[in-house]
Amino acid sequence: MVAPELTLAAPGPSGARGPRARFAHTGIVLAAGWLALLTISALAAIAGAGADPLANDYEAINEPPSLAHLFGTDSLGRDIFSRSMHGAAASGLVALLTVVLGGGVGILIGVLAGLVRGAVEAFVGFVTDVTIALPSLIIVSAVVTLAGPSILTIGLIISAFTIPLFARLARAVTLSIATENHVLVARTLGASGWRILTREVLPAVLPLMMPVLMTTVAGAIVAEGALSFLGFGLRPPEPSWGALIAQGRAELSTASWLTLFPALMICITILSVNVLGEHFREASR
Amino acid sequence: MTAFPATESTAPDLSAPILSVRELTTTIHTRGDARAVVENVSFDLVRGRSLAVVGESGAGKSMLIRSLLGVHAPGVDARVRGSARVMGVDMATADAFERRRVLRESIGMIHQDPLRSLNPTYRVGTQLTESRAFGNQRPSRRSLHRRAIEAMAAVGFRDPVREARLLPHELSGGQRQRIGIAAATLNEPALLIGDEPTTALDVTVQKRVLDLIDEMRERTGAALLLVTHDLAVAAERCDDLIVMRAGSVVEAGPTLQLLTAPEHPYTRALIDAIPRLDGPRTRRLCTPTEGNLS
Repeated sequence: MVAPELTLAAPGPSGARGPRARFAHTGIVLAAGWLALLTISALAAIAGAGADPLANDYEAINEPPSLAHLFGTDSLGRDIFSRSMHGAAASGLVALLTVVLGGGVGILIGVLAGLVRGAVEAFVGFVTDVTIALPSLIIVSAVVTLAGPSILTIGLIISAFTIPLFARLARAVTLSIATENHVLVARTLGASGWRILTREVLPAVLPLMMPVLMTTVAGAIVAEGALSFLGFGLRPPEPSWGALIAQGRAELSTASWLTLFPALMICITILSVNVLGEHFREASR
Repeated sequence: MTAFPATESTAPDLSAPILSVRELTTTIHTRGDARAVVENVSFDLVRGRSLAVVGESGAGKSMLIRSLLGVHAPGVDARVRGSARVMGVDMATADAFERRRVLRESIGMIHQDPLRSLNPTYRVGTQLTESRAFGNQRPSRRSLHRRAIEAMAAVGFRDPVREARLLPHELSGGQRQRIGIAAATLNEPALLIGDEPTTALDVTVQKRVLDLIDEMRERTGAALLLVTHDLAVAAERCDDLIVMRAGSVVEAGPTLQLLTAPEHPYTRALIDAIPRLDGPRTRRLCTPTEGNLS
């Protein structure tokens, strides 16, 4: 009897990546780089760097992109690059509120519901079901109309609507993690509920929530842009990406840069956030 | 009239049971249904003795352990009657704070699946220090780390400083279970509970792990409550035996007596089910010429 030959594929050199992995890695670097650059630029703009986004310059009306005005100027001679950076700050605030309020509160509520179970879980389930069923865009528009258009109001109301989404997902993940052996072991060692929450459950839940967090942040930025575009966001002359696109719409055929650059900023930012979200999803598998 | 001289009243009574279980009954409630999974179980376990709980899968062995610890899976509506006193504290009626104190100070538990018992995201050294960082008395991080390293050395790790930095998946099954033993014995508990601690291990590693548990017990004088479906392990390692079936104790007594002269048919069936090398073969092995090896 002859033993069958078994041929094993030779392992590649240590650390070698396939073309797909290399492409993905480049994408992650570019996405993270873009978001870092945007954050620094927006912070610098808020700190006063660059041109005043509200200053009119009647000698530079509707100028196309140049070295003096990288993204060109609008019909009042305002610098579109500076206005876009201030718009990035507005979008960044909405994203931050979504992470802190929507993600933070939502995940905490969901994890507590999944751990405590019983009446708490039933109550959280009922509230999330009701909230998800509400027509969010109409309510956001109404609240902004009543409370007045400020980026804080818009950010708070958008992020409040993401709380049920996070709560529901975090609860489902917690139900699975809470039954895992290492959590039971911690309980048999005498760990308190707080310690189980902070050391055993939350560290396991958070990586699984990261892809959803990134997708929701992208959605919140788009929602802010859409609200501003529809006129429910920041009022002119305050800059936001959606408002810039809306203002440039009337002059799309003569001064396309008024719409093009803010739209590109939204597209690249959303793409970057989604690329990072996909990376987190892959990493958490 | 007192049972003991006055001079002995402050010394611990070594004959007093560390674990005393009386008519423990656990009922699992589901929607419109209630089922007793542990029924009227009573036994005592004193310092230095070892007691095995044996029975087939589903006999209620693990549920017995969970009931006497007061730790059930989340979402399980388990209602416990009777009493389970650990060092005098009734775990069935104690408040959560007192129960956690007893779990921290008096009980060490070795679990079945060494991989799943360890948190996959923390290094094993961290998990050992974490395991004793609960409660009000919090030793310094440095002293906890030193104790964790000592505990790892005590269970046979050759380079505990380096190995403490490894993640659970980087250890073998036997090493992981040794970490489990180190965690369980770090506080030198009076009661050591093993819930099928060697089921997931091969026979050679199983022997080393059981030897290690015996060594730790000899050093600390802890009592051992060993849950196993392996009658051979129970026979070799434990002084007393409880045989469980469908949540109830069908027979109990000293191991040697129970294995040599079993009274209950179920105990006899369990003993008869142990595979023997010198026993009759129930299945004829095929020879190479009969099979399809060519």
